[in-house]
Amino acid sequence: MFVRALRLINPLGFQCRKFRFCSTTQNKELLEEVTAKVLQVMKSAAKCKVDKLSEKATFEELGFDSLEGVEMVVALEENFGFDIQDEEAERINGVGEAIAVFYKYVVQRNSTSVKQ
Amino acid sequence: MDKQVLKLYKSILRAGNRFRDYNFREYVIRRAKQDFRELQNNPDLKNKVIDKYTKELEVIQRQTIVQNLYYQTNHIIEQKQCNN
Repeated sequence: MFVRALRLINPLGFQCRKFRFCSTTQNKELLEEVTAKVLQVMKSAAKCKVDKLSEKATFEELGFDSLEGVEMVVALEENFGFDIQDEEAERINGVGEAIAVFYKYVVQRNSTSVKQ
Repeated sequence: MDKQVLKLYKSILRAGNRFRDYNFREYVIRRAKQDFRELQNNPDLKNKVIDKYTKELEVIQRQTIVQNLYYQTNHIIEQKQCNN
């Protein structure tokens, strides 16, 4: 009866709470997927110091110079299937930043595809 | 390295990746990597490389459109990679 009352007061709000719970778990799985993909692409680079590879590692720590950093970003774009903006790509100096940027784009693309 | 050079390098790699034909794609990417590595070791070549690749970028962008119109099947190396 309390639930029915809630629906009458704020039907949309009730539904929004339900969707927020679902999207949090989905976003967590998506983040794990993106992290795994980014680490896989980094590992596949011949010059990568695999023992230092982690989510907090910078390109310098992994043994990449500026040109190899650009190659990594392009390889990630190929892997994910979309291009990112140049301003955001310039800010990618490590694994963590790459994960954040590509996760943001994946979430945006998923939300636009759901709306369609 | 200079931001302008890195931006140009990224544009060349992105444009080169658009070739569906294995040979063209690998050639463009390999030559770009070679020339930009040489630039890193020899900074005097900066203006020459930038001029060359600014023109090359337009050529690559045009050629990807034309080449992809006539693309038929993928190279045997790519077929083997798919099977593996």
